[in-house]
Amino acid sequence: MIDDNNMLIEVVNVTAGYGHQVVLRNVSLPIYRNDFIGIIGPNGGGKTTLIKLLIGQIKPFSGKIVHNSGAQDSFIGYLPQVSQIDRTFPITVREVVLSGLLEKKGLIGGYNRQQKSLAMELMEQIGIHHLQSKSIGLLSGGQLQRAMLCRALISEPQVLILDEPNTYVDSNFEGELYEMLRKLNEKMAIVMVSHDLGTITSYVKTIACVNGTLFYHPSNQITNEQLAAYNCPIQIIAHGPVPHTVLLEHPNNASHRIHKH
Amino acid sequence: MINAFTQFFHYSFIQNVAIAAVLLSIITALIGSYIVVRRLVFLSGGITHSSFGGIGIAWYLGLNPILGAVVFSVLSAIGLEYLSQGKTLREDSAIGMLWSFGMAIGILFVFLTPGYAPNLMSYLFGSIITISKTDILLLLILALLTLLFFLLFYYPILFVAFDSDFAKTQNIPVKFIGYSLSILIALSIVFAIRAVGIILIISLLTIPANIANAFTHRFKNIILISMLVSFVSIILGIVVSFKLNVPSGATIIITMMVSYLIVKAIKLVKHKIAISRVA
Repeated sequence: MIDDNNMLIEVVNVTAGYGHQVVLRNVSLPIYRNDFIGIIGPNGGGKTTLIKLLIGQIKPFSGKIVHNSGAQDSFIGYLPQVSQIDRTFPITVREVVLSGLLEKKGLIGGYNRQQKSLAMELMEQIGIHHLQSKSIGLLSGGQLQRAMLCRALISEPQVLILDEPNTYVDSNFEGELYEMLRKLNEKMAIVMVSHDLGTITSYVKTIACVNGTLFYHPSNQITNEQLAAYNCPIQIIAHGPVPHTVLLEHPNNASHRIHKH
Repeated sequence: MINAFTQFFHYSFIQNVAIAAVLLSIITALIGSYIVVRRLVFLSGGITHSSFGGIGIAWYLGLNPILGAVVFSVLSAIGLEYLSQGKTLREDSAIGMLWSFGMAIGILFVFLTPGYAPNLMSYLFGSIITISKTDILLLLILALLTLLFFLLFYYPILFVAFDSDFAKTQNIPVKFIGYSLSILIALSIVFAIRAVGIILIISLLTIPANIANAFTHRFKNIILISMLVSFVSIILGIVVSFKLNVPSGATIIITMMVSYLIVKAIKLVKHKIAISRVA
């Protein structure tokens, strides 16, 4: 059991995968209140599998995932990759946002006035209230991402899980998003998958390297030697005024993306 | 044309046909809109054709062919929904195999059945004109069931269709919604076979929703406009087929397709005009 009161989710020695194929072995990860975990690692290393475990979409082969949710509904807010969304689907921004209250609303019937005004307030805060009646097919990548963020936030989750929120959005929105997340982090734990460690190290507090298994690094400063030791080769090219560690290129990793401004 | 309408309504069976058209429109608009937005059209095609296996076996055993079709289509629908959750098999391959396997079983058993099978054509091509009171009762029950399901679970249906992974995080019984809708799709297909037949049914499910989608981007409105489009096309198709003495199922589908093309053409012209004004 969780004895630490500040721990929201505890992944204990989890092995998981699909069918007979094991993707993650012996993964343990604590998610503390107000933590901001950056999940990094190569493609195929199991980042998505870890997310699926956390949101309960798949069950572990062995080990356990303990939720210290109390009695709260919608304890986890989830922001999937925008590329997974069918842009031609006939749904409005307001409906997308309200879908985040589905559990609170219950299976049968419609939304009440209070829930609708909650959606309206949140859309105003995130800056998409003028788009509320628009179909999602008419939105830009950043606008859709905002709508999905509202959906994840409307149930006031204690843990916000984001799967590569910085792909398919313009760099303007990327900066705004990180600022939003920094503010949200005062109220909730954040777990963010990213391929772009260079940018996120200044926002995250801890780092989890996922590549077949998971190495938890309880700091946002990480060196290439540590990454190599974690079997988690990521190329980092630091830039800009944000103070963070500037690292060398990993020699065996020419295929990774180079981040340029 | 007006002459054809008056002639048409002169007949007593017309009441049956009109009621059947209303019920069919309700069923196909709800199910059709769902399969179109969820992109389950090919899957529905597979279920439709596999049901012919049930028709063949029931025919051979001297049972009601619709009963056989219900068993086959519901089992295929549940099977395909199960496979799509596991992702252990390519879904389109599974559908393709089931599609022709069902037809093969049907052809085999129809061949093995002694005697001539005159009514068999009506399962392949449909005949809303010869629809019976029993058929109408079945359609009524299915229409009420489908309507009730959509009224009760409208939001879960919409949100599971939009993003089932997210719906799972909301602790919604995603599997219950998925399987229930699979069964409703299967039943709708079987009962609509009487009207337009196995070969044409996919159009009845897809064209109205696509016409509706040209006017609106809201799921609710797609369903409502589909109902209207279905009803008008079915009645118009029957009247035309009556006048020209051609098969009704085919005429209904051609009527729908022509409407679809007209709607698309109007949209294209409007779009061109809008662009030329801006330029």
